[in-house]
Amino acid sequence: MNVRNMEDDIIIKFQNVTKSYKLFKNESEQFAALFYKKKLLRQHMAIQDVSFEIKKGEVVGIIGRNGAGKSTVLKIITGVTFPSSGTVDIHGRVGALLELTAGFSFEMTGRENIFLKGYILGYSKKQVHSIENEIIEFAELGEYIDQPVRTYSSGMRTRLGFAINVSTEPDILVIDEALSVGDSYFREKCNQKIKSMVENKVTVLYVSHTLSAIEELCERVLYLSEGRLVFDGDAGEAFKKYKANK
Amino acid sequence: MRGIIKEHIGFGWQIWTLSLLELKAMCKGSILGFAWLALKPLITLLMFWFTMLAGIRASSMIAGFPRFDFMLAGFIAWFFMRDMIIGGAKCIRKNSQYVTKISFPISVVFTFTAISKFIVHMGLVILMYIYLILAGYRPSVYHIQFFLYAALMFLFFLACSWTLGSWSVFSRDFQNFVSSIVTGVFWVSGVLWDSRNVDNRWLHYFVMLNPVNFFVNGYRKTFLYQEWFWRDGKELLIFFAEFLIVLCIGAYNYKKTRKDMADVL
Repeated sequence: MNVRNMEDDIIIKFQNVTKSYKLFKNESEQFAALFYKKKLLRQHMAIQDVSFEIKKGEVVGIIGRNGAGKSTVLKIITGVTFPSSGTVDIHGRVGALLELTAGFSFEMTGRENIFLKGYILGYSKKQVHSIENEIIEFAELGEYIDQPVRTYSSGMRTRLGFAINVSTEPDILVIDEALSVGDSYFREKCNQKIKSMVENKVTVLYVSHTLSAIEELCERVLYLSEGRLVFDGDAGEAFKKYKANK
Repeated sequence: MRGIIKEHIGFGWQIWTLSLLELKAMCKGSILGFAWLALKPLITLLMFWFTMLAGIRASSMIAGFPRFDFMLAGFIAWFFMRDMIIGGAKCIRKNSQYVTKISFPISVVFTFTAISKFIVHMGLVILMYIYLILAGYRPSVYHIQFFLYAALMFLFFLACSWTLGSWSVFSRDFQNFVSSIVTGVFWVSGVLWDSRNVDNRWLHYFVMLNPVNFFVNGYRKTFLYQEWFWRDGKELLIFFAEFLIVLCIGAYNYKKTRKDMADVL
């Protein structure tokens, strides 16, 4: 019985996941490869044979140097890209704080963008209505909400993007250093929000280069190096390994 | 094919919103705005009409109808087909943020692009119909065929865009090739001339194989000739065979390339 519950709790499961990018000499070879098998110039292995499980409500940090495969892991979780081999199981809605302004239309107003983004995430009109005010309040845009997004400052856009993503009640929240944008006041507000989401059993994956930010939030850390998962466990120990490797 | 339909389930509202957004983007930044959507085709049509009458001194009647009316019915269909071919090839690259930034059913991009073009088309058809009525054509039962031809045209070129768009993601050269070949398609198709009046037997078959002619003549049958679409069974059969092929190739290409698109863009 217990075992079964444990199984049910797993919200993200990577099993021997490998992602390789095909590299071609030029675009025409890339096009030709659609029609017949051609020798690749090179295959870049972004991640190799990565397996891990994340349970519901866990807060997990991902560290690693540039090109270690952190972003690829996140992209696979958010469903933007697909693994070349291995299986990925994800149960629940994924909210991504990767590129906060992704999916925005700059010609439309902030309010229209809330609806657009809501629809893209699969919400109905009524559902978006119910979170509309919460988003506007959190983003602190005031009357700017009815101005086109192109007139916003980058900080305002980020705020709106963040507010939309956290208000859509994801089961899994993926964060990629997005919080380094914005002033310290708003950053603090975001951190508070994330903490309250963690308390509400939202699973969080946090990717960052700044260890202090991860330390604050995560107990468990995945350490990736050259596409392989080299450590999975206690945050303190992961940092030791990471620093030793530097 | 099933995958594409599955991707559309639950996306009704979004598709409509995104279509309108696309439409807005088409005419943003100009004072006349939406009027350009009608003005541009009208100017093109008048230019060709002038060339035909003043330059080439073609007779003012063709196939028993005033040349302008004849060209109008053909051009209205052609404008939509042209927009669908060019727009279909471009649409994924143009909306690449839906591919590389968020998890989004990519086949929906084809659909909302097509719908936005179709809205424009419907506007043009309404304008054409007003003109035809003013020019003395009576409303007739043959006109209801329009809905059949319009729906088939929409689906046929949507299926085309699955192939054109997917391949364009992998090669900009292919996208440019598509844009530049469209003018050629225009001239070999009977938009300006009467493709039903071809003597040479081989040319006659060639003309019949061209789906553009199917629609151009379909619109003329509907609005001018007053002929039912089933009168030419061979033509109908050829079209549906082509439709099936395009549908299969499109679904196959989309499925094959879908997962790699994000990595390429």
